Amino acid sequence: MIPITWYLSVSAILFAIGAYGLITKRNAMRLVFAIEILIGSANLNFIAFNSYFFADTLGQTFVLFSIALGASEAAVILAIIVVAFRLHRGVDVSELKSLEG
Amino acid sequence: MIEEDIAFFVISGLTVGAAIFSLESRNVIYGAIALAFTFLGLAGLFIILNATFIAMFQIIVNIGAVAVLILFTVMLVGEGTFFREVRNPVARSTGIIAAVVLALTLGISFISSSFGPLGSGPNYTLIGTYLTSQYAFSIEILALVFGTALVGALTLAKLDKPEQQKAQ
Repeated sequence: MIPITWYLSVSAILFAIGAYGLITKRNAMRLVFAIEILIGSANLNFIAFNSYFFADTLGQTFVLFSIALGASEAAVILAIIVVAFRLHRGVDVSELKSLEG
Repeated sequence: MIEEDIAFFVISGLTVGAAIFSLESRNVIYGAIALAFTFLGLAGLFIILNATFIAMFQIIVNIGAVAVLILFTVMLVGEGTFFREVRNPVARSTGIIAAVVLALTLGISFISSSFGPLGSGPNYTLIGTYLTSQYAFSIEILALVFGTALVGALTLAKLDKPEQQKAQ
């Protein structure tokens, strides 16, 4: 029997990777990757707790919603990136400074 | 059981390795494909955790829709280098061998295992019961969120002036 802490540590490692990518990267597509990795780590956490401590399928229902919402939010983020690329000819987020100051 | 441990380590190694590669690869297209592999590893972990419905849902939605959409956008913003077909016989034969080994492994593991009816597997009708009785309102709101995201993405990304169309 695999202890649940193994799944939680995989989820924590994925969360750390996603947070690192979200903080460090300047390419907009890498930020999208990092956000999806963060969502995936949270889903893994829910499913792990649901499988070990809960005789019901409530965690799986929640992850169903979470996956669907992550997909729709990724669609909107990519639309914003497409518009920004059209206006700027590049996807470096450190160049999008016109609202600064 | 030792097979469960091996499966857990292999699949979580794939997941974490693909996640790191998707952020650190030189080529963004490789990163997008590595993201699809991350989702695949997560689906494998869901299967080990006895949540096979969510694993299939994850494969269909996250790999089939999200990763493909991200790949489209990577191609659209022109980030990756566009490959020409390079003839590499070593890579081709390695790929063929890898595919044959994978197929044999899966086939042998399917044939030699004794799949029986689940004694007390997860009760998937409970998901349906939840979705239609207690969380029916959330499903309706989710449908509205989908519609809003669709309309919003289209409004953001549409070309509305002729000079924008010429510039595109």
